[in-house]
Amino acid sequence: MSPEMMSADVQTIAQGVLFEEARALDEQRFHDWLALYAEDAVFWVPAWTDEGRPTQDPETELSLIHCTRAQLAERVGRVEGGRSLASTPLPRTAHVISNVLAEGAGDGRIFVRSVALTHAFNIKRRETTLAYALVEHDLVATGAGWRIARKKILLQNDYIATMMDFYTV
Amino acid sequence: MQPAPLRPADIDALLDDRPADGVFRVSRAAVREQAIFDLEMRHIFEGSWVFLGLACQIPAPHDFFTTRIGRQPVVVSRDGTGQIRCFINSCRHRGALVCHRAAGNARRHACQYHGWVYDSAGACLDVKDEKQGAYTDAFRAEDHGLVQVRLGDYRGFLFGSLNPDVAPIEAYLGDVRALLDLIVDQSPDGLEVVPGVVRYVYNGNWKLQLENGTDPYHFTSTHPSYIQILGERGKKAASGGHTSIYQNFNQKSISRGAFCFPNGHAAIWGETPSSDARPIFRQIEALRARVGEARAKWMLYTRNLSIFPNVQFAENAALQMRVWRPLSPGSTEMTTYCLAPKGEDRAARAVRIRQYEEFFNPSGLATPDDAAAYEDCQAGNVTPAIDFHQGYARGMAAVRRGGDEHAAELGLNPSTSIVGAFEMGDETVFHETYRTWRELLRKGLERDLAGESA
Repeated sequence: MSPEMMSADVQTIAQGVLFEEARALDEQRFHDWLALYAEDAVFWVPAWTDEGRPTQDPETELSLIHCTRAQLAERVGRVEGGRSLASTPLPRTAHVISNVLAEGAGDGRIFVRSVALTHAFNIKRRETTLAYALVEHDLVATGAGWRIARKKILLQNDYIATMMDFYTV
Repeated sequence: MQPAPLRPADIDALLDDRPADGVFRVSRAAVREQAIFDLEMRHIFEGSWVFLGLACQIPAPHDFFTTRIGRQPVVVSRDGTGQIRCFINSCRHRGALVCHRAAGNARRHACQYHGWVYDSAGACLDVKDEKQGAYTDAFRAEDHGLVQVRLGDYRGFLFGSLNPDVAPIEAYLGDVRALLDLIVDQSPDGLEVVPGVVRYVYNGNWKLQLENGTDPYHFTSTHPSYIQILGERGKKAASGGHTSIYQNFNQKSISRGAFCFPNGHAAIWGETPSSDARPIFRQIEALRARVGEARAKWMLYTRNLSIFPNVQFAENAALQMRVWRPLSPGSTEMTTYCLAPKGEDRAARAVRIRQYEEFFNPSGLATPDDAAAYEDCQAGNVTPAIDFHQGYARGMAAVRRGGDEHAAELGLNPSTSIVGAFEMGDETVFHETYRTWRELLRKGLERDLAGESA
């Protein structure tokens, strides 16, 4: 296999996972979405500082969201449970994934950078919000297929309209 | 057609305050009307003290942050001698902002329109091409420095006022200072801000946030999804090792108290369901030895403090500083920070940060539901079809004037005190705040009217 072919494969694999993730969120198939995450996955949305840099160390600095897969499962339960005013009715979303750049990271891993535009329509208020973010995925090959080991979402417009959650970024 | 201008009687009618009859009602116009909002901006946010930020946010000479007093942009700057100053962020030449960043370090603030330059104390260093400017002596006699405003500093809590005649900050805060002490004294080295700021805007009046911060009544009905998650975690977890202070939350077994203070400040307090989840619990013996049993106990309590009109320090799931800026009657900007005692060990800090994020962030498991409730309140209240809310009556048959035995533990002399079961969901905690609010609006309107007729 030539290096170019390998690169094309990596790109195809990465786009497949990212597009499937976006589709699962937009169709509100949240358990299918969760299944794309590895058991020890981390889902991270850094905050920004007043000095204008994104926070880098979630152990000593604030994040907007810093979740394990188990905590993502809790969020899915909260959204589906009907007891969260902010999540009822659930906004309809369209995740647009673009500028995907994938590179092999060795040892059955792929590192992917992308840009995500997430439009969310608040049904109750009849208003649309847009979140735009620079995104990184670490993908890992498992017996069950490619899984997300880490997702970092750097929210570029961190001036939040009322609320955000895993499905609005 | 413009609505008729407000008269003093309109302000009086915002509250139906008849203690002898057991009645306290707040007009629904309070969160709705533009004319009231305009009065609030002029006579509360721009006429009294507002909270600016913390001295520890600007530890070094020439550090600064920018914020607003009401509508007016200001710079809070530590000058070259270490003195903290607050000046209006507006060039003396034509009024442009001279400082565009939220925070940073700068020896100079230069207006990039016509090039006037100021130092970190706000003094004007250079009027560009002044010599060639053919200025008159009258111009040269003027002070060209950025306009300084009143700054109040209580143990690093910074307040500012556009009104030079406000009372000293110590008098304005009164006994609330003892509750601020409970925050600062958790570490011998004081307080720090965890890096990272979270800003959001909700579509509701600023007083909805002001109320929510000292409103125990909403907790079980607004946050069932959060309580449920904690319950499930508790079942899965091994014994001990609580990750949230709300684990073991059982409203039957804990009490809640509240204090009202002069000048509109208020606080609620209560026993913490799982004190061992507090990061400071890891050093509890050292803390007791340093601050005494009573104050250490109060540091472990949940305490939500509102300092009128624009800041709350909420110490429950973690310690939050939330500052708000009213944008319109139906829109409020929130700026929120995670605070922590300096010198906390790394593991405790990480626990604190996770507790903070999942409760307080607008991307967390609790605050979004509060904000959604504010928006529903605003959405339901758009016409004068109904005159008064029925939301300020709980606790009225139990509240007492002055302090109680709990206040005495801290040496507080509040205007009113109350304590009872969690389900009491006291609402008298809002009464003094609304009385202060109406008084400031009434006096302000009278000054406006006197000015017009003069």
